[in-house]
Amino acid sequence: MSKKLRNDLILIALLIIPAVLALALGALRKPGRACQITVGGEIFAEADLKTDALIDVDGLLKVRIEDGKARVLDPVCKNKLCSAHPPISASGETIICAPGGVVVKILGQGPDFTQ
Amino acid sequence: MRPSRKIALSGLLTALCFVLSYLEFLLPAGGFSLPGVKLGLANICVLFAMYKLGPEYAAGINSARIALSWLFFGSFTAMVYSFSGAALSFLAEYLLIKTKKFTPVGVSAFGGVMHNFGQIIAAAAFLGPGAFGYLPALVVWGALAGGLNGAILAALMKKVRI
Amino acid sequence: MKKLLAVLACAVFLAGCSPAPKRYNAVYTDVFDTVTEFTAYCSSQEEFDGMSERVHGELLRLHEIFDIYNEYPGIVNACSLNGAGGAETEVPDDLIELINMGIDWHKKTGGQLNIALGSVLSLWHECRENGTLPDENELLKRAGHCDIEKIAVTENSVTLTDPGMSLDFGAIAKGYAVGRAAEILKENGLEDFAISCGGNVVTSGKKPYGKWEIGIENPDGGLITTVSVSDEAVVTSGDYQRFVMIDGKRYHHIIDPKTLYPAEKWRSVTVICPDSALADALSTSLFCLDLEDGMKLLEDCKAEAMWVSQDGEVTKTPGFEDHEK
Repeated sequence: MSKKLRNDLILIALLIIPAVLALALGALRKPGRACQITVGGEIFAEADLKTDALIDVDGLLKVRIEDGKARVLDPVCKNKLCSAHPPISASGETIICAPGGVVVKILGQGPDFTQ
Repeated sequence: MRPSRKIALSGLLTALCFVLSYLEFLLPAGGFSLPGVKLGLANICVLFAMYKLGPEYAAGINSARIALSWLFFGSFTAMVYSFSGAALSFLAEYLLIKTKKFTPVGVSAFGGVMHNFGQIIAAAAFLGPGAFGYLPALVVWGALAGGLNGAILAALMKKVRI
Repeated sequence: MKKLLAVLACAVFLAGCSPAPKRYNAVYTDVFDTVTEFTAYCSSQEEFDGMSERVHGELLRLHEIFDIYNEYPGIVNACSLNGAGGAETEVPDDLIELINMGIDWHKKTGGQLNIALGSVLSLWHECRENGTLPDENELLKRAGHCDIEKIAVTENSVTLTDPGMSLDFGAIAKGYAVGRAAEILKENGLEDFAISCGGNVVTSGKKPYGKWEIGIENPDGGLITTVSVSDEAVVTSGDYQRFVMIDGKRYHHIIDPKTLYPAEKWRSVTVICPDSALADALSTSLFCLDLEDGMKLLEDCKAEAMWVSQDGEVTKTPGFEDHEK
């Protein structure tokens, strides 16, 4: 193996290993409590994941909350990548509709109960 | 290589670049909802130009390609995303080539990562910090796709005499 | 080498066989006039559904027994007892147990927890519904029928020797009920779960990455703090939970037996205690007691507490702080 190629592989490893670790840790994520929807960086709505709901995000797309998960439906954008994304439920997970400027994010663990 | 030949070649590469990125656009993307999860085939052309024609020509080709995409497909935000990713990866690849310590595989891999990173930064500017959630996945994908592109490029450069 | 591979293969196979427990949730709205949530870590939806049925079943059963507003066919419950006009009435064991607990706590709190306060409480209940204040004379008259000594309890019957008396278990019924439901779950092998019944939370075991987290509301909005518990109950009594505004003043649902009006010593009291029924009794009692008397009561039980005063001052027992993150 040439020296340069070895450098390549070291570089790629340095890039990939932390990322893979981050992904693995992500898989251990705690279930989220709520779903936060932002449009253009500003909070549009927040909804509890425990209650089934259908939220119309300003006509740009719809967010369906069901079974403690959130997913995107009927986006106006062309690429429909956001609606193809599997439902999210772990804290920190996101679905983004870039053309629509919408970010659907699961907010991390709040208390299990409030009294 | 004479300048006129270089310019002609740039034109050719720009067209090729443009067609490759359009082809990628037609491919289905599974699971990710952030633009940037693509094979980055267009990058092969840009990197090829950087090696054979020099950075100025590569920059010119990249910019022309992005402008063409904007003209043809009309999305301002998509153009900004593209530009952000392209600028960052261009810089990264240029620096790496200068060190002379890496083959096209490593250069392209790093370029791929930086391209995606640039896109995420643009996304964050428009959409807020939620965009960074995609970082780990896009880093892995960028490195792998970039590495693959680099390998293709290395093979091509041996075969193609320009 | 072959052996190592065989062992690894078995390990992988076995690991695949026992899936990591997942978190499941169920909500019931038909017990104790409040929203009840049951959360548990189970290895399958079927397992959870089975447990949920048990919890719901037990809560429903006790809800009917302790209900003072409705009677149910086939059982003699608190409502029947209150309507018995002084006759000796055979009642279910759980009701006997709850009544004995109430009598015990009346002594312990110097009368601040009184299950015999029913006639006064029902007047307040009516008034809250109508948005009017109760007539002072009527309150005083009814207060004359709240003598806990006038309850005669045998092994399986209860006699309200004052026919004008009626019992109200609001202070301790929920805590008792969720405690019993939790026992049943543990008997059935479930380890990691929590039941929240309108502010009465009982927890068992913990979640995969930590203990159960209970947020305590700030009466003025937001959260004061969050406590982490495992195998403990958390109960909060507050003036912001059930109340009505009359002429610009807030009248909440916890009536001080001494003043006959909503207790004004605290805005909220939170109790952490391994025993759910105890936690419920303590939180209601402490809500009507001074700090000193409350602390004394806590000493005898293995419980911790937090008080929020009328001007927002927060006092905590050292053990309570240990539960905060």
